[in-house]
Amino acid sequence: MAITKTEEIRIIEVVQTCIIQIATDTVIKEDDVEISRTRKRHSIIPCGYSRGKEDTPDKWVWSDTDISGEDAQVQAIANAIWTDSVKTAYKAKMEAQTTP
Amino acid sequence: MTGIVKTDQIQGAQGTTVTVPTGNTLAVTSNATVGGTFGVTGNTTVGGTLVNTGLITASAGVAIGGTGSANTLDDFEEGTFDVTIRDATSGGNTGSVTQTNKYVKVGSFVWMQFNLINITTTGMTGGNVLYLTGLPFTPASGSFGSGSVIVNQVNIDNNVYDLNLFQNAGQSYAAFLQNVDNSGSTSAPVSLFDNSTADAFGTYMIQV
Repeated sequence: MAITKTEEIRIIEVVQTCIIQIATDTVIKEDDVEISRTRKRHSIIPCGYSRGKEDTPDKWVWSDTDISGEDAQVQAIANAIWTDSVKTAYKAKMEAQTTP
Repeated sequence: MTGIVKTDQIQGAQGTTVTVPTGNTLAVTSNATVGGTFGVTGNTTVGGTLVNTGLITASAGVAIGGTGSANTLDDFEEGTFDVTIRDATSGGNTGSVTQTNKYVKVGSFVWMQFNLINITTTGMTGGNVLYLTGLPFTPASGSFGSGSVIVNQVNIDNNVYDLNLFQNAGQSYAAFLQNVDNSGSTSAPVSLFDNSTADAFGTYMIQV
């Protein structure tokens, strides 16, 4: 009886222009027959900000997202869509919301 | 020919298929058993109770109580997610936490349940807002997630009467908002969370 456990990326979806949502399934097989499948999700954004709780957007500190730990497919998509203009638009959108 | 034909088997004369010609109906007025795959290209009407012991797949959705989009369930998914504790919405400094977070998506609505134990903030900037990043879904325009949280070892500011988890539209991260008496709300900075002993538990819903 051979039990195997593998991870499969099932969904890579781009929402709201630049947010990448990734769904990864963990598959357990016994003698090559699937007996369990569970899903875990996460997301990545092109860039992020840090700020104090009273800081206005002009004081926010922005940095690009490090995607080196992501799957190669995810990296390829991120590199293709996260252009400078997309990042600029994303920053403007976040700054307009201010919260949180 | 009319009347009853009694036979144990029917087999096609030219091939393996017995065809009921267009315009005719094969009516089974008692029980029927299909040993293989039962394929239907047209609509199917079941007047009695439909019992299915195997998996039902419905790639186009299931309409309940009507056939419009408001009555059609077109997606369901459940799973888990991990957040990254940061002092920024991406990048910045990261903390750590013991967590078992779950989500369920029904149609366009997603419920997220957070179970965050022993939030550790070592190395994070105390004055920065604390964020939960990498959330599984992002609220659509006009939607946001907000829900009260039960917390341990969080030193809220003066005049704060409640603490909420909040995820705004278009954001894949959440933060804790402090509701201030007779004023607006403020985001909770890292320094409010007792290092390694702060906990937070909460649930909210978004539309995606």
